[in-house]
Amino acid sequence: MGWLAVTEEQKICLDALNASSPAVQVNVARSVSGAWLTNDAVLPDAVPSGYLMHFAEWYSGLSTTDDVPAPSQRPPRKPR
Amino acid sequence: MGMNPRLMRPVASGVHPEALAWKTAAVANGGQVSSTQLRAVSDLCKLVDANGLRDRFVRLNLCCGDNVAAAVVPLYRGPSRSGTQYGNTVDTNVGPFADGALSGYTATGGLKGDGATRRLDIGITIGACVNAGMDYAACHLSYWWLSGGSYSGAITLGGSDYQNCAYGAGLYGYSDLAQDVVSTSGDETTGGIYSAATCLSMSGAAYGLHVGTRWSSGAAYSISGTDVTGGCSQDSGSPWQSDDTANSFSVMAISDLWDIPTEACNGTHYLYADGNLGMYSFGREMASSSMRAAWYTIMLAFQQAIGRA
Repeated sequence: MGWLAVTEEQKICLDALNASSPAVQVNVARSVSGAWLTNDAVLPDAVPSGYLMHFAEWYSGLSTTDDVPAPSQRPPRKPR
Repeated sequence: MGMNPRLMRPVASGVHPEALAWKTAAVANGGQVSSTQLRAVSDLCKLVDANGLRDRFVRLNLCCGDNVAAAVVPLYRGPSRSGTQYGNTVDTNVGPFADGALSGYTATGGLKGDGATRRLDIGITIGACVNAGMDYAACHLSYWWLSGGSYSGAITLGGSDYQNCAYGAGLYGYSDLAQDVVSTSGDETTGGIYSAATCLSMSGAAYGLHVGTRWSSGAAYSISGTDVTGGCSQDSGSPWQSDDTANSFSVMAISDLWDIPTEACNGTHYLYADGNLGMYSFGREMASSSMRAAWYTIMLAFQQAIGRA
């Protein structure tokens, strides 16, 4: 399992695709360097006949990266 | 109007109607269900009914089937099939989980988190829980931890606003049920119940069924049918609000529920899980140890029947 780099422009496109796909949505995470990443393990499904057919064209524009996700941490306390 | 009770009786095939409804919904979602899996789900439904547990569940997803499209379809969506149903008809698959051991789902491996992007949005809010008869002192959550992952983040679920309300497992780095957060000298303490001993370390002994529950006069945490003692605490809490509907719970991550009183909610999620999940449930309290033990016996039989245990 590796990671794919997602540009800001690609993330905007992704937000639109997700809005029209309520059942399955592609998610991104911040990397340790502050960039956007998404998981590449689902690429076999990101084809016209696959589970992620809705996102196939979007995935085809992504490139691999050695960057990794930043640790998922609890958020700061909220004011009341 | 409620469903005619006669419609709830087992159909001629002997398959429990709720199991049949689950299979129908799974297939409609593109899912595939084997006869063995359907039989296991049906047997579980019958045992839940026979043990008087059905109204304990506001949501139960067995995360099973031959593909992920089936695994995201919950079995129960309310404390009864004929009453009000809560949350998404199908868990929104965010990440997403896809078919394959590394991709996020196999029939025997369950849902596999990636610690960064994969989660389910179940569409149930604190407000929905209140409407379903739950409250901070009348609730349970349970999950089946199949394998894998770091202990504190292997399986996470629920939501928190980190000030007034929290309901979930893994909220504080423990495998716990934690509710209500109060400020003490600039720090936080968790209310509800939790296992201060992190239950059992991450040796693998904690794989299996986790149940956290709180009721009006007590609380308990059990792992695979045995109540954890010596590290399980119960603290104060405050009633949940029916108008707390800004954000819904997640599974395999924690949702930021902040909307108290009506301030902005940014819809973020955190503590993405990296373990393998074989079932989750939210619902009313399981106050007796015999009830929790019965749930374990039922779940163990189910997991064994589909090749997971």
